Amino acid sequence: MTLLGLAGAYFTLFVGGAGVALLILRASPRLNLIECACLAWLFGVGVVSLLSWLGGTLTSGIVLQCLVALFCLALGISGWRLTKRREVHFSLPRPNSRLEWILAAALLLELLIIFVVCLKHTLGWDGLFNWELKARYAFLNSGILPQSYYSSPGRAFSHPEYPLAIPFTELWLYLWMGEPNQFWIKTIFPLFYSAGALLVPLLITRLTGKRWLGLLIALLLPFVPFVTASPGGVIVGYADIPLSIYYVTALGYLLCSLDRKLSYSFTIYGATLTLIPWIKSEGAILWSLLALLGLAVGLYQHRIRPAILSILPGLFLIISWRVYLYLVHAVIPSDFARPTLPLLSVNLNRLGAIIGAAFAEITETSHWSIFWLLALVAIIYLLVARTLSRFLLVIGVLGPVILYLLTYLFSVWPSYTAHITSSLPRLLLHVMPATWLAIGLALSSPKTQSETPEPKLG
Amino acid sequence: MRARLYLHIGFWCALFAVFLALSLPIVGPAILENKIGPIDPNHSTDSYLGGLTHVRNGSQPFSNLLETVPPNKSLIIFVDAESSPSEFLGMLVAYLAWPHDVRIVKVRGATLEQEIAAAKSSEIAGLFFCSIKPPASLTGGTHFGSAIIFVPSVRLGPNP
Repeated sequence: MTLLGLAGAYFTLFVGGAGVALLILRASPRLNLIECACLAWLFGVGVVSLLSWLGGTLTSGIVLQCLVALFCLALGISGWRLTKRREVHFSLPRPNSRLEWILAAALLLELLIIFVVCLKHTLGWDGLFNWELKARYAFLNSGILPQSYYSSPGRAFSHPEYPLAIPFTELWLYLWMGEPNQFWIKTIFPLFYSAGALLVPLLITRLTGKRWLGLLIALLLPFVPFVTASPGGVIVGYADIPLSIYYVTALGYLLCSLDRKLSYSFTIYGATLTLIPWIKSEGAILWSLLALLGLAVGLYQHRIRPAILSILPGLFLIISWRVYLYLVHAVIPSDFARPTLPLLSVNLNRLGAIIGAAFAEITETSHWSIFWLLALVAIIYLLVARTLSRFLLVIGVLGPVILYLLTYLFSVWPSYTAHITSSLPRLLLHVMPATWLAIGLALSSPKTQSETPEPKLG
Repeated sequence: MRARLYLHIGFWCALFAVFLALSLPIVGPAILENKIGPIDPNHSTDSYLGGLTHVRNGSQPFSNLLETVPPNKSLIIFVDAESSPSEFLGMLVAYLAWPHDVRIVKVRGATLEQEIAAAKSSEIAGLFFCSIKPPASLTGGTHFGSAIIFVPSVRLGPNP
């Protein structure tokens, strides 16, 4: 029964997400099945978690579950009918050469290994207390996270203020399985990883025209030790890898809309951008940066209206969540003080130590090998290319790191360096897939970087 | 032009070789360690309780222990502020104690007796001590494995 329920949960989630993906991709005459599946997962998580949260304010229990499931089915049917009406063709991209076949087979094997490795480990500290705890309590309360949870100082350690995308996806599985099950919910994390490991090569292929390069980069991705061998990576049920996948998807499609001028690319950017602050609180920082990049692209392409429209849903979601937390009297444990100019001037002397701690982290080979050296070389390559899309990618990689480091100026921990040591590695993960995207683009020789190269900057 | 291309390829191949050479000794063993299972609804909490208290499949017995506690009263969880395992165990107890209201008290130095005196009230269902020894005045607590002691409120004596 448990496995049947699990299958039902995944089916409805994928159908809902596929519906959103097909509605967005309807303008494309040909649909890549792998791309559709990856986007279906990312959007499905958003649809199910948002609907469960919003629906939970009106109803509960089996009615809530049925309403969300029906909405997912309706989305799926709408998307399917639209693609039929527009005579959109589905295609499964096949490797073109022996090298691509080998790389694709190795990638499939690698994804399978990651799936098995994820099932071997327990949920980590955050995975259990920040995410699964919310799913369990909501399940035990007919699908709604009770107000007493948000306002309980005794459970402030579980960060009631964190958004609900991951816990309510886990809740969706619980509702269908009929029990809280810490083993089977671990399956969602390799799915996030797989979506990223398939979208990164797809984006690299689209931006460079070289599929083998995309596949090679996807193969190298899990060899960053922090991804597969450290607490905080893909194996322990944290939200950092999922957040990084949404980030690279939004950033990648933004670059595609700039390089390839495909309108649906910008819509996918907008849709994934909306979900970024719903995955984890730090997503608000990534969202702000990507929103600015989107506006820059909108200005460059004289399409400012779609750029503003793509920002609004995310802004609405951020505000709605803050209002909701206020209404339920959520206890918000804060690791940071409110940023003010006087506090900034007092704490500015921390800057040296922050940079020092960051340098120590990025050179920690047991966490990163020489990944950040590869990143540095890639950034130099991209800056030398002097095109807008490569420049935006550099901002997309460096921007979050700089912003994250600046937040430690306002840390209220007794030792802000201990704060950096405990959280920076996971924050760096947020830009890890985007950095691989940058490495892939840097590797591509300038001659064939894009089928429709954009003009040089300057 | 061709020389530049070879240089480019050689340079990146060298970088990737170093990257993999440093990664593989870390990633390889991490992938091979552990095995799947047990496929259990309390997979993670059982594993942590097993490690910290030496109670096998402890989540269910712990929930059974809590069923004896009045649901409308809260629980106080004492942890050692200087011990990460104690703090983690306190959070685990708080996690499993739902829907009871909980309060985690981090004890520093020899302040436990004062903390207990301050915590006593008619709204308290009991006290949990996580990897921390209760004072000698509190006798008759229920031991849960090697690291958790539960003292129900009836054993606390009169409220201040």
